[in-house]
Amino acid sequence: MKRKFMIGWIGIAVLLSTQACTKVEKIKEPVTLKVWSWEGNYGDYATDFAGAHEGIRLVRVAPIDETNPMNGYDPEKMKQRFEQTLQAIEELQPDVLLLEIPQYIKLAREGKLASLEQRVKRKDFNEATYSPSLLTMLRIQGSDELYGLADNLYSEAIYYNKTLLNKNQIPLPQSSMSWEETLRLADRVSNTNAGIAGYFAGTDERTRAWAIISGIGMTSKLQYVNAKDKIVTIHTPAWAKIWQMVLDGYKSGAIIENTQEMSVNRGGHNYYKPEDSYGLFLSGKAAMIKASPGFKDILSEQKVGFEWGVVAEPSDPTLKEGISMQPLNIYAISAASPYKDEAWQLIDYLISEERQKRQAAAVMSMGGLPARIDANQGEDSFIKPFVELPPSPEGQFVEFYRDDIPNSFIDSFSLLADAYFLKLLDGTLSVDEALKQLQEEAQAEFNKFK
Amino acid sequence: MYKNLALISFLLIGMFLSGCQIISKEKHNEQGTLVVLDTDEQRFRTEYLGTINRSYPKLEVVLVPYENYRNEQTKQGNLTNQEILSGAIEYYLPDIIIARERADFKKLMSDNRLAPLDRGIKSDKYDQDPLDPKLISSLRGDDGLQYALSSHFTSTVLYYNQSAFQQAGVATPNDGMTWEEVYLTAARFSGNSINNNKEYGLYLPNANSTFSAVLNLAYEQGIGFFTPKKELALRTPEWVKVWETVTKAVTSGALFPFGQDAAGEDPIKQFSEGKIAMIYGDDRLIAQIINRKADWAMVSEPIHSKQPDVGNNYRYLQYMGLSVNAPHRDLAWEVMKLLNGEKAALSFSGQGIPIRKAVANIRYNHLDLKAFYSLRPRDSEFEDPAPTGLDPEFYLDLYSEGDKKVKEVIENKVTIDQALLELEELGQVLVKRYTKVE
Repeated sequence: MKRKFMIGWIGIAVLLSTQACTKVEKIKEPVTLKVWSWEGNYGDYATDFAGAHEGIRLVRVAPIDETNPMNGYDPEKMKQRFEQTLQAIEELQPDVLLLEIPQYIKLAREGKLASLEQRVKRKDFNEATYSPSLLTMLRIQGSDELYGLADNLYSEAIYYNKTLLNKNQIPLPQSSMSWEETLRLADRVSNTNAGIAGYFAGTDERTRAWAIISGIGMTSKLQYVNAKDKIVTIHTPAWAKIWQMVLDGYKSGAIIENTQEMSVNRGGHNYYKPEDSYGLFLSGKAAMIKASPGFKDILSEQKVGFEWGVVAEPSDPTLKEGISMQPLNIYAISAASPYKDEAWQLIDYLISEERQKRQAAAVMSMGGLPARIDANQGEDSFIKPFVELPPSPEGQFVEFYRDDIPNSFIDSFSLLADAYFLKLLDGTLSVDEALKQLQEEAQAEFNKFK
Repeated sequence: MYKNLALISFLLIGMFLSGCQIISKEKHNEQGTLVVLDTDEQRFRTEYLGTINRSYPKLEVVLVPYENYRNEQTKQGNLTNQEILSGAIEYYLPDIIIARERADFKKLMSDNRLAPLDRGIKSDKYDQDPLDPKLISSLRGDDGLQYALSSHFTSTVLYYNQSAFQQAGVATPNDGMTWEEVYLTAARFSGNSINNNKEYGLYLPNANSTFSAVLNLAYEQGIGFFTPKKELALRTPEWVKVWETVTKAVTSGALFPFGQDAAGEDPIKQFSEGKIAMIYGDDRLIAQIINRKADWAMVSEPIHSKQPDVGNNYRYLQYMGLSVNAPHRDLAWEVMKLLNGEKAALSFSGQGIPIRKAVANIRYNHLDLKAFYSLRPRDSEFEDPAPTGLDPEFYLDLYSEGDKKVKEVIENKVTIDQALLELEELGQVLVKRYTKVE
């Protein structure tokens, strides 16, 4: 009896152990995931991921912009190319997609992407360490549902020259001041010290006035075109107030800009050297500048001799939203994919805390931030201003990608607006007259697209 | 009796468990450091580091900061890449040296930096299972010994759409065609159209302008800018022929348009639909073409009639060697086998064709890859005998002038002879400007 029992026990033990073993040994036929991704992006993770996940193989599907690049910007062809990209995605049926914002918005709207809401709620995703602002933005662009996750984000904040401000007994800027407060502070800088400006608006081949004015308007959700009714709406008291404020800033020296031609490199590409782009701030000739996290590297490379700080970008006091954030590298799963769980494993790996920590330094030197905020260990105070404001649903990148106004109209409007700003600087027109004329001219221009 | 049974059962269970562990983990306990020099640090980080960390969790891998080292050295003086590599090896004493260029690998062998691997390969039964033995022979030195392991190579082939050829009644391409034959074949498709869509004979994804197609064709045929006496020679019969071939193919519409002209078209799609008959390109295209479900086949890259068995574009994606002075020789060898082994090759997801037959069969689903290895790699890189002290900037200026000239030819403003005469004169001025007088 005892013996039987013993043999039985051995049998069970052996059975158990072999079962355990076959479970380990049994290698399922690997799943092959098709990944729609740029070569440079894919090369950064594909081999490592496949090495760590033996049941999954990756095959890259090249976006058509890569198999047939465009040599130059042509707004008309951009639209055609966008349509072709969507068509290619439809035909090639990738499981995982690396998307740009407009592609993400469009595919999410059309139900072509799988919702990730349930997956990010799971404990192992650890939502607490993923930027809440970024999640908000991805949900906004996905029409209130999360259809993609980004591994990095782009954002801007105000860098200020602490040494210069302290020396002149001017209070330091605070996070998320209004633009009015920011420019008032800038004005104090220009008043106290001859030859030093408050806010450096950047370097361009022509004035940056409209870029600043439209950016300020954007924080309060002002529209310069009503796309639905096809009416230009720049001649309003709200816009006039901003134009006046920026005009005063230019006149008093509170705002300064650098206008110069770009250098041309050997490859025929136009570019600015860091000295050109940021020179006035680097040399201590301007106290504040709006820039991305990558600017920190430029400050240390250029070995500036002053102490600096960072605060969140200016915002509308009633809204308190940031306009400069955008997701970088949005990864999504095709709604038609038969391998959604495996696809999720790839996305989960890309935004895993471990990988984000490993990539943090490289991402930041490129001007971005890892989506997992705690990946920047010991950098909390530096990172915070870039991510603390909830993102506006109508931020500058949404504006850039909007499809309800022709791209070429956006270009010609900005040319017109800058030209009128220069007339204002000459003092030949009042703000009201300028906006009235701008409104009429721009409307005539817009009517051409009807 | 019970004791025995208990013992047996214990042993049995033990055996199974240990068997399980070996299969499931394959982790090693080695500690210490391993120094690696990879001339492409980023690729080491993205492609190898994770594999080592997973198998040797306690091992510290030190990657030589080669890019910084190279930048520092370049600032200090006029050193060649190979001299800089030698310097780095002496300074950092790496265990494993990974070259990415054949010239670097050859120099490492001739400087006796690498240990022969044959004994280890034999005693460890390290199975290389090559698609073709020629692939391994390129990893050997003049003494016949093997000095590097590699897992992937890349090369170019001529892809063609079978139905496009059938419909046009043109004989399909074959292995070992000359470039002249390829261009003649492409010309058979110019002026054809399918459903009101223009049909093209040949698409060259590696050329983004007519002039770059001219340069590529010259390179493929070993035609350089300088004579052995180091004089600029752009009006030779060979150059004239290259210009004639390419410009004619462009004006007749045999070539799929380049760059901006083609913007808005997806050439791979057009190929799959038979609107482009042939594509000349590397192995990256395979996945794209398969995705498009084309009726396609491939033949070996076009050859030069003087060396009909040589392929110009073979490149190994790594030449992984063991330093003769490796401080951790045994460990380094184990890691090299791991990184070049079948399992690592299977998860490798970048560009390249596996050297191993078994891996290639899985990755490419038993696709016949013969076209990729039917030629032998060139013995040495083609070198243009440029004058000593010529600043490489010279080429950029020459290319931009060449680009202008070829456009004039296409627009019928000048003849090829006239264009080449003017380009050569301009080129001579540039040679003077860019040659440093010592």
